[in-house]
Amino acid sequence: MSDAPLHTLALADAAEAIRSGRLSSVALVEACLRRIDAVDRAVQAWVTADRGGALEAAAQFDVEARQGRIRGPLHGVPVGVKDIFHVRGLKTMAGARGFADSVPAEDAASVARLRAAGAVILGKLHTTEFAWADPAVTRNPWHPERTPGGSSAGSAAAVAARMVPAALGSQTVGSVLRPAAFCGVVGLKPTYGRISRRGVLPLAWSLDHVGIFARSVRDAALVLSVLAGHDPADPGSVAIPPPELGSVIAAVPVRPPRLGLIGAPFRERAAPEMRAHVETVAQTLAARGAAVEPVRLPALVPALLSAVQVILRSEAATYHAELYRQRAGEYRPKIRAGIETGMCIPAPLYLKAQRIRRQVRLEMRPLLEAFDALLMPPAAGPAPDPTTTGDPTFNAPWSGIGAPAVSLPIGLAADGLPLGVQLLGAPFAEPRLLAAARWVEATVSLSATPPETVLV
Amino acid sequence: MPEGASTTVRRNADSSGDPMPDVSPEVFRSALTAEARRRFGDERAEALAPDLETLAADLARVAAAPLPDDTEPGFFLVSE
Repeated sequence: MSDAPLHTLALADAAEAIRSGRLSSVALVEACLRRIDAVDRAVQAWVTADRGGALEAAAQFDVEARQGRIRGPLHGVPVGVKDIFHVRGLKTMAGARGFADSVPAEDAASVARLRAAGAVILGKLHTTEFAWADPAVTRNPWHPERTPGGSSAGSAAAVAARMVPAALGSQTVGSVLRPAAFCGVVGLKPTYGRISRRGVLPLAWSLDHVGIFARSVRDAALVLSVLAGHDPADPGSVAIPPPELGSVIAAVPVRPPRLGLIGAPFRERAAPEMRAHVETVAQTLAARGAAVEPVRLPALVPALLSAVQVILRSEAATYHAELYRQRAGEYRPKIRAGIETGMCIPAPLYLKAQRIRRQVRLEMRPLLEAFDALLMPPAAGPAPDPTTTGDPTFNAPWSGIGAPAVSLPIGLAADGLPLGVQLLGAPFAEPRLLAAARWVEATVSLSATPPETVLV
Repeated sequence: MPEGASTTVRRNADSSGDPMPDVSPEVFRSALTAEARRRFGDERAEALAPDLETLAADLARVAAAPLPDDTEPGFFLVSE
């Protein structure tokens, strides 16, 4: 184990150190809690740090580790959870303090899987209200006057600020990949149906995905290996075997990937700095041995962007209908407008939007299968000001077709904020996508961390 | 027939059976505003105007998108 501060340890390294007896879970959890005490006044990522529960669990895991009983690959490692996931004994407030304050008796399915793998649930992380677009209180660890993105604001910021090595988030349109890009961490949105959504407050049922924040592809893959699996209680869960991620976790692939470089309609929507960044990254990867070819997306992709917005508003309006009827005036402005406009959408156009996403998925499949990954920007540029959570356009299509995608931090913008790239893969081909991502990460990854002067 | 195997995309939206294929964003905006007034009152409908304009543009793009006749809705994108 290196001499680095414990709160900076990577998830997989920390898990290995605990398994081998070189590190105690209590020491690691205490280090993360001290880090939260030191920097969360500035970042405001945490709704609740469950000090008592986390230390009690860590102590139990240490006892078990000393007895040679290892629960799973995350034994003793702390993980944070976005506050729309149910965690038994902790309030689910969903960024809506006045509305949702129930204390669940059961964990969300994904949280239960984390615990079964030995993870320590460190606490709940801020979200935008009901995972819509009204900004959360959380600040970007790289710059206090920039958004961390959303809706998974606290999850991205906590991992970036080294308060916890990994966190759960959710993505309906762009709520994992975009905040990961803005905060300079790895974001993974697996295939729709790969991770159970049971116990996660819905925003739009047919678009909602559970996602992962970590500081490396290896760590994200390790968490996915724990979370993936069929859940008959989730109607969107798919009954296929979990992905085989052992080789991705074990080592950087030797073989350079075959990458498709996406241009229209996203290139022209990106800021000049982001366009130049992605082109430079593509050229660098090609120079290191990757096969990089320009690709053309199906003509229906622009219509898919609109279809995702129609589906989002329609389904959110349906889910919130009863609560809205009782307490419309208490919603924050953007989600209230989203619910109200969603109520005005004619059913035939909602169904047309659902037909579009299915057609694009069918048309994208050959393209996705021809490459290890497709490459494009994860956002229009670096994080914008905190009156917004940023534009999810660059992530929306891949939520729409349910394809897996990864956001990787690669470089800094002129203003010192992280820039990244987005890689997407074929549905249920996470091992292939993550292998490509790990090769890209090893070739051109960002090693910078948020400036400590911003965090204290 | 397997999904997506041999379908013909209709380019003439008028004959595709799509809902409101030739409706402009302006017409959608007017219809949405009328519905918002009916549901939430004039003042609230006025406050929603920017959102209704964005939504009208999205609905127009969705309505105009050409699709094969046999494309069913996606809903839960299971094992395709």
